[in-house]
Amino acid sequence: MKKAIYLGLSLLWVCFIQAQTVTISGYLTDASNGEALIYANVVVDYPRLGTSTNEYGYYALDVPAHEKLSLSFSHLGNIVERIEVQLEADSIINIKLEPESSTLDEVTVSAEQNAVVQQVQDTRMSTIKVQVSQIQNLPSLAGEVDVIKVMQLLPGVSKGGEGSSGMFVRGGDADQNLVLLDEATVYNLGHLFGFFSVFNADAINDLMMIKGAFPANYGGRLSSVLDIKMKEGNDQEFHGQGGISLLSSRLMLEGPLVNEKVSFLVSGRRTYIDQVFGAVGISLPYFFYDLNAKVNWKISNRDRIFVSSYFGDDVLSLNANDAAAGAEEDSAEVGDLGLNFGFQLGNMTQTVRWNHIYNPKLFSNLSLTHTYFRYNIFGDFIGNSILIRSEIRDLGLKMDFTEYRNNKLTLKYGGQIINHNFKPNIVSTQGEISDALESSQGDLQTTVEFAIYADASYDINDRLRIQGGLRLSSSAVPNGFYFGPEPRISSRYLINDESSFKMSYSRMYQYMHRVSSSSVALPTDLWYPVSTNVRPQSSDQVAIGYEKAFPSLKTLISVEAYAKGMRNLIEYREGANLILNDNFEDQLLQGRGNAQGLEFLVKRDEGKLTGWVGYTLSWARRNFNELNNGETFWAKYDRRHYLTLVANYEFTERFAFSAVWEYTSGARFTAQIGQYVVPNSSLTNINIIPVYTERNAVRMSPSHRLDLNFIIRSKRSRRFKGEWHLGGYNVYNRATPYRINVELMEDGSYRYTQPGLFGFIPSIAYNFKF
Amino acid sequence: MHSPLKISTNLVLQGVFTLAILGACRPEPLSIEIPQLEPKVVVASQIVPPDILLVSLSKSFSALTDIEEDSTGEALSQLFIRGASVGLEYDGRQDSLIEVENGFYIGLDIDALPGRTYRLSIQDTGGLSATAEASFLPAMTFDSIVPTIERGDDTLVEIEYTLRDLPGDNWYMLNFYSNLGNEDSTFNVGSILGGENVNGFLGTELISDDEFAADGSFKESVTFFGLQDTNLVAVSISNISEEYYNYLVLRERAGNIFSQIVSEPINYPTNVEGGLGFFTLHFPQFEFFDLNDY
Repeated sequence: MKKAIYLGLSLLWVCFIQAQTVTISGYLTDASNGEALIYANVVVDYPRLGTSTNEYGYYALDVPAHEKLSLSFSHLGNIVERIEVQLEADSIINIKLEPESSTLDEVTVSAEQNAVVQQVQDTRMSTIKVQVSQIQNLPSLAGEVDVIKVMQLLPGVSKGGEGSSGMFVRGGDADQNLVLLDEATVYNLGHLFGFFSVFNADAINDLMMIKGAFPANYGGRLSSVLDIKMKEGNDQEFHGQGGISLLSSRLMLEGPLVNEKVSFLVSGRRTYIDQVFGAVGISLPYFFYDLNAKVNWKISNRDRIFVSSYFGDDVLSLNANDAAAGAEEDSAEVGDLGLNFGFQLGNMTQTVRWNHIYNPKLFSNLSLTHTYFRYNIFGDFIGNSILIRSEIRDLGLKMDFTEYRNNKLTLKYGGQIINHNFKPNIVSTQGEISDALESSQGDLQTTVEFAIYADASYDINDRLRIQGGLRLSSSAVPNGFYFGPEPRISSRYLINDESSFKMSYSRMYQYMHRVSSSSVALPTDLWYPVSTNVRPQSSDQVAIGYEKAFPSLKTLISVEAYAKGMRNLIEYREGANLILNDNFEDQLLQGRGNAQGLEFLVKRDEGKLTGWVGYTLSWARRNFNELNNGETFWAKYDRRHYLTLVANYEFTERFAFSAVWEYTSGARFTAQIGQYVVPNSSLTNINIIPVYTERNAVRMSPSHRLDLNFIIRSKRSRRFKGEWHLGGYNVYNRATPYRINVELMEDGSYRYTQPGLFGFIPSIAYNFKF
Repeated sequence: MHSPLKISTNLVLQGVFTLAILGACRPEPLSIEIPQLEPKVVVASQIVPPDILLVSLSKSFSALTDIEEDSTGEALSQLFIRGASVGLEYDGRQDSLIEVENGFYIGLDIDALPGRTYRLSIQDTGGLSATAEASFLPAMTFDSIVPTIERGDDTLVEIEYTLRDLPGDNWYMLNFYSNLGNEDSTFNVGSILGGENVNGFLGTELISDDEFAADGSFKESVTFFGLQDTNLVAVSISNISEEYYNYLVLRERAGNIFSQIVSEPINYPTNVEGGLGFFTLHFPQFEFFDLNDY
């Protein structure tokens, strides 16, 4: 008996020894600049264990104590780092990964370290990361690198009109995308009415788009999250980069203030459209600019503080005297009118972030964010003046915890509170016009959005992982309160090491709307909060997907199907005019929407040839009781087919070539198909009244476009590296229809035509780094 | 004085930009075929005091026709429906309307039976047909209406009026006219309906009864500029149906140039089955003012 007890205790001790684990944790950073490596992989070869860094570059992993372990750390675009360790206690292992010196070097890595394999094994679905370096190589309109335009090339993302920065994700509306820059909401995504993105790629470290299977820490919009992280600033060496294109110049400077302790980044961009047009004798008193700045302070191994800010504006100031300066005959006359017109439109964001490690298994992030968006439209004429102003100011506080309970279970929980202040349509008038249009301070609206969430990721067995969460969101409005339980669940089933099956369900609530004409989307479209009469939008989305990695080809194939139902979407009442209208709520309608689709993606992020092929087959519908006689109608940007080919090929270290080709079904349109004449109600005249199809019943012609870009780089050995970008937008000059006109033909008949906005536009840009 | 370097830099910049602009081609618009609306009967109507129903009938036409470009009026003339069989049925009575000209048909001695339904049926010789129903609404009159005139370089006329709401839910249309530019003509209802004082149309006001005070009263004043002393002013008030009121409000909202640019196109409502337009039986009551008397 004693022997048996002794044997049992011995076995338990052996088991205990074998089961004893220690935790390794730390940050993964890029060795060249100290930037955090987000969603990088940490793998133990044997026993097979692994994890990935969080959105701040931090990881934690339980490993067996006392054993010799081979650890490898990998991240797309960096060389894999392998280390051998034998740990007796919890350890902090901060790793710096060297960047791949050349994309021409086809680095061989094991299947486990391969990024595409890691993606297959991840629970996340409907999520796409695009490397900033890849974006910077792609062709762009007028040579202006544009992250939003690249996002629009992903499957499931439909764009608005040509050149527009609007994104319509999985049948949603343009206001249903949560765009975060260092965790602060950005309301206006485009400069020059959306033709150029407000994001300066030089200042961006990482961007990720989530179209479904939303983790519980994200909320507030129905259709997508575009999470953009600014660079933190090189903490080792002073560097700069910038560029000169036909329309703008930009410069980014970064470096350590205290070596490997405090770093900074400052980045600026300004157009000289006004100067360039002026040089060829055309007066265009318009410009835009943006500034990014960030300071990163590594206080200790446990604490880091980041302070970042973005500021950008579009400015038009048209003075009729200046405009008429070239037209001598008219100048005096126009000058007498004293006519001035202009607008100023822009965003400002600030973020203060504190990362704190309580213990190796508990990581926290505290963010204080401030967002300000406003536009001013002003005009002066004959002693009258008018100023129309709208603004939104958000102040937010967010606390997130990541708890690595063990290698099978990771918990995330936290809370968020945002105070929204809306001031739509502040009007200030002077002169006779004030008799007709009285000054008004607008209808100040204040709402408080509050959410708490918890999310758990658990490996049920080697093949099945489930991530489930619940977000409880709410919005306090004057005389009311909305509450929205938002369950989220996603799962991954590994068919084998290189292929998986994924499913997800997520419910989302949105407590603010952008009130926009579906005919023309303007940056001046009004954001409007929920109120006792205007209810929050909500959606339910299910998605299933299959992913297959081809490690030897470094290629991932993904197929996803989704179905989404949306409630309380917003539209104008027919004939409503919201500008200068204080009583919006009477002009708004709420209805339903649904969308279904199938998305294919073949993506390669490493090697000489990188890029993707994306295809989307989708349907999107709307139903409002008061519109289209209550009949269901197609959403404006219901595009049946969308095919994109995005490729970048590095011929040599100095020469690269990139191309984008896209084919898309036409946008929907309400076409005039007839007309009739009737006497007016006073019987004093005749009115010609148009007759249209049902709402959005006509589809414009499909469009396709090819953009090219050649890159010629200086020798890499030089300290100052330059590269020329010679590009062409729409190289075979095909119209992308954005409206339908009725045009008079030579024979006197009329026909419908679909003009395009941009034809072939050559571009040249010079980028540099030092 | 410019330095040579500055001149050459400017030249290069201008050259590059000019080349880019020149290189930017405007793409050829794509064509598209869109099936056109089949012609439909278009109805407009009203009661001409005291008891005449005036109905205008025309055909809808293709969106690819620019009728405004036709200075001869030939295209417009071809739209009028001529020789149609137009019947009016109400209270067990069946009348045939008489064709006058230019697509106008009249029904004589129409009984005003408030609350009763009147059914209009149209059969065109070309095979088009349509029907519509409307109720005869009680006539509305002004409780009081008084113009005041401020004479100066220009004449400013303010018309103040009061109304008393009729029982039930009601909607009203007011039209204001003057004989501006036609001072010598006799000003009467016929001349308005004949379109003689087209230039003198001053405006329309639409009022729903939720704008009335709790005691059923309504007071408003409207001001017109640019009227001469010799002008006559006429004001009509009609009790109209809710559907027609909504149609007119929509026309008013969507008719402005801003709405036409940024708003989604609107199909105006109709109460004509198989056709377009509005069959109404509103009965305008006129008040006339000779500004010389004030």
